Amino acid sequence: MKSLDGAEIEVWELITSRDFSKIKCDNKMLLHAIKQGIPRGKRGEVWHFLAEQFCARIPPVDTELYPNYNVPYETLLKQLTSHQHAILIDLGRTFPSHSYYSSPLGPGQLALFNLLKAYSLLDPNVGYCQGLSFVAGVLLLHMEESQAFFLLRHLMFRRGLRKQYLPDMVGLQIRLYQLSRLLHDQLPELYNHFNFYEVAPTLYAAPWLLTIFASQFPLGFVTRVFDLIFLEGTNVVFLLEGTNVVFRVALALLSQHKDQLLACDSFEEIMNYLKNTLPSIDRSLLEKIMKQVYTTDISKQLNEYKVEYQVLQEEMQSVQPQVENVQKLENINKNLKEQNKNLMAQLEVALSNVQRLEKTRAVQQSTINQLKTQNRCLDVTIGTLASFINNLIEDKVDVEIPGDVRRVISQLTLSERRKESKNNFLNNMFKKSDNNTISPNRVMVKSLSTGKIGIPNIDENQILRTNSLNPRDGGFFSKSHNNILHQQKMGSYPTLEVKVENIEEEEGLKPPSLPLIENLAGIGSNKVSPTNSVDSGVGTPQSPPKDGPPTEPHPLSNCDVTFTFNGTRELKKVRNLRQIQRTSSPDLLSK
Amino acid sequence: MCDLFKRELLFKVLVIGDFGVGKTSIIKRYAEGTFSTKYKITIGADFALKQIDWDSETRINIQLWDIAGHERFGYLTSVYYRYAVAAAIVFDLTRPDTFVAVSKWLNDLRDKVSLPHGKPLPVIILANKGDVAANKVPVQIEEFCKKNQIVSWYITSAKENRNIDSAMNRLILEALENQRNNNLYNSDSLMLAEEANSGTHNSSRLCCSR
Repeated sequence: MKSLDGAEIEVWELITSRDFSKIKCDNKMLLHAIKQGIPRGKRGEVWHFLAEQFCARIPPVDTELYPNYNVPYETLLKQLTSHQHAILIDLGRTFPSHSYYSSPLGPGQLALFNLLKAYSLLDPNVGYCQGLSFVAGVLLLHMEESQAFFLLRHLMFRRGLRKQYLPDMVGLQIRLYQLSRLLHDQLPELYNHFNFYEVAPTLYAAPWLLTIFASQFPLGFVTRVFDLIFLEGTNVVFLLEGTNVVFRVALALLSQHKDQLLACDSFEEIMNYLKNTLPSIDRSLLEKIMKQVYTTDISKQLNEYKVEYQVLQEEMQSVQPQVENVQKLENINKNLKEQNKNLMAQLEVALSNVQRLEKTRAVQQSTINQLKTQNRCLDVTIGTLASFINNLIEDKVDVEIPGDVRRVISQLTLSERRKESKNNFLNNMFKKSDNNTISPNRVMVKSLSTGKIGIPNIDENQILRTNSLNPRDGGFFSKSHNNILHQQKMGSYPTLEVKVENIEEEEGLKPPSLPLIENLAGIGSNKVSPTNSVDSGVGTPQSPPKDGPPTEPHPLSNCDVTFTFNGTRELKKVRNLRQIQRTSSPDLLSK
Repeated sequence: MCDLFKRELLFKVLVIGDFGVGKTSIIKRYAEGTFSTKYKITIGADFALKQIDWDSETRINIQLWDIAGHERFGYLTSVYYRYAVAAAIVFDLTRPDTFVAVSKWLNDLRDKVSLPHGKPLPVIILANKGDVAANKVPVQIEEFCKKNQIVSWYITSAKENRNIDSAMNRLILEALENQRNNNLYNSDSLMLAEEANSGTHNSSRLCCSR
């Protein structure tokens, strides 16, 4: 405590004597006195005096808006508040290390409770808000309850503090904006520094504004700020409005610590400095800050910023529909992106499928080629064997050739002859058949050899592929059938020829006495032999049209040879063999 | 020496919940290992740092944000929530209404912040003051967690240092998992994101100031 000189004491005595009319308050002297600091013991009285001075200059509070404004403190205390719980919880957390407030429900906490409760009843719109307890706490340290209540009400209603505690906290937000703008204009370097590390005033200045520095700063400093708040607008020094002082102090604090704050190079460092280092204010710094507070005038700017904020808010309101629209579009965009992503994934899967199928196709194509080659080899083998047997029959008449063999030989001979005498369109047909086209008899042999070389069932793709050739082969067949029938009519071939061709094409019709062919036939019929139920009749080249009565008699209908499938793939019986042998062998032999 | 090669991560973890449930106590316990009955009211927001050597390659800096529980500070919370990667919602076992408020806080959180890729923040619930009322766990808490995709819930006691570390570790694990999934696996990425953001922030501010 510094010593007071005579003049100052005189001032305080005058003020506290409450003989205000006589004093007519020497402004200069008062300001000088307050600059030195009001003695602790006189503070309550001086604040009260300044508050009354201030009230004398402005119209009274509209009691229609605030019907409880003039309800006496004692009356309010008798009522119950809905904020009791919140207030009780905060009692122990307001100046918890100050001796007056530290003991649970001691006189300090009780006084604080009464004050906050009474205020919450006086001003139901604000009720209780965190931060208020610190303001009330500072007041209670300097005066008794009812006086503190008077000054709390005064600060809230007459000094504009109230707005920042209202449920929407608009007042606080305006002030935070004002501070930010103030920083931008007055301390641009610091503003940019804070901005870079995203240290918004909301993060550090909310407690400064809501507790008038009381929650973080030493009480000696806080009371000096209170001095100034009560002093402002009292016709004494600054003819200022609102809580100008708080901004001046904040600005002074930040400018005093500017260099140190600029040296902080992280969000955490800045925040820690603001929270821990900045509030520890020693005497010399206090005086420096106070001096700066007296000499800065920012009321004009603050008013501008306030208007600016309100304009911004209005603009925000006016663009609200657009903002919502943008948000909607963003959502739609997000959904579409998601859809797009899914479709892309599907496409990828499909592409890989295509690739896989293409590979399969290539493999199968090579199998087909291989089988074709085998087929040709077998053709040659059969031809050779047939000619050998023919020779044998011719050379050695005494050799007994089984009827079956004779028949087969005759068939082969005929087929060979027919091949030679094929007319042009058939030849062309074969020429046309490129690698992808499989001629009907080749398919048959192919399936036989498939069985032989032990490749398991050629998969359905192959069958499908074969089927896909249907129209063409069907065309070929109907043509060849027609052709044959035509030839039959013309008498250029004996009846047997027709039989032979069809027998050749109808796989499985092999005499059991010919072991090789029988085997092949057996294997073939177990495989994908087109005549079998697997795909028979569905337009496989080898199948004669089964569904729908053929307009012309089927070649086989003229044939003596009949065969039955008893619902199985096994060739059950070949009948009339002897008959064939008997009737046809002379013909055969004659040729 | 080998610290130089450590990957440093920064996680901003929010601690929210009604007033007086013990958010500050939990944070002080976790970050500083201390407990006191004399904490001040948190006005607005406060934060504490804790550094964890998670494994031989990872060091995690946890920025614990202590958000004021008073309802009307909700108008400021969006600023406090920014960049958070996880959250703990605290309620007081001795005050059932603070558990009711958990869903309010959860909604506030979900409304105002999500992970960079739009995923919701991982959230745990801390039933605090377990030293006094561990037997007063709300019966519907399990169902509530399932319904609201809460990672887990714990009965904690800041006073007796019960479950706080394990709860926080669980939350960090979730944050790490998200971090991995987002391919933001180095300390620079967060920083860069912040810088990029501050740039736009800055320009908009300047624009408004005209």
